[in-house]
Amino acid sequence: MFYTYDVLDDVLKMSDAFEKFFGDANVRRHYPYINMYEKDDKVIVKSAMPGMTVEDVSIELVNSSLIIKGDRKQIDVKNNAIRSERNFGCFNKSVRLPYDVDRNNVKAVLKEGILTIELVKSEAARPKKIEIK
Amino acid sequence: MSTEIKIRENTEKRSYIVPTIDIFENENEFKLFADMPGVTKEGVDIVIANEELEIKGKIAETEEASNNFLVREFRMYDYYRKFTVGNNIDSNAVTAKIENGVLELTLPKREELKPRKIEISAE
Repeated sequence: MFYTYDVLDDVLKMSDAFEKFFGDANVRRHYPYINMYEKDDKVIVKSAMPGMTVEDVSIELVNSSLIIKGDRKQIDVKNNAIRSERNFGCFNKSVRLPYDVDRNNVKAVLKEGILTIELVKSEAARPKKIEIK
Repeated sequence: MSTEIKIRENTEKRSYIVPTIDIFENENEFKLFADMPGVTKEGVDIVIANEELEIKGKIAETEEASNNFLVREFRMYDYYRKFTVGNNIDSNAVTAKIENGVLELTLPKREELKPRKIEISAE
């Protein structure tokens, strides 16, 4: 067995250690940020996307991934910017779902800049109790 | 995205999100846009006092701590941000609206600070 030492290995190891230590503060994440949690038979995905309207966002279900696409347009303000921290433009994010979901039973609501997608686990993904004889 | 801060209120320490903000200026007014997703009209609280502008946004629905998170990339906390604006804003004429989680504030400058064209009178 050969082992080639690469100084970058150590650097990567160190950055992994940093990420572990600082928890979710350092996780690589892409806009728009999402939260996903389970509630009974449902999987709920929430995403914060301020300034977006229903026309600007599209959601697709491809295989076991949810694809969220959108375009945040900057309103034309003809004044001089003295501070600009907000980001604009197109985004495209794919979220891998942990379960098979019922494709015909997906609800999505965009309210106050928060997109909520409710997916129902498919019959096969639900826990099934097995009787012992 | 926005950063989080901790503020001590009375005895308990609370976490807030510092919203990202754009500010535009023209000769008559300042326009401020703040990204505050999850905040409704009722939850916004704007105070101008002591030459400071304070923006507070209360989130409409908080997430239950018991939620079984599979992915967690953002937190649903209330918003808080403070600016020093000096005394050049006409605080009675300030207007605010919130739409799709974006707060829009119009802060007109005080009348005496607006540029004025001086006419030269012909003799």
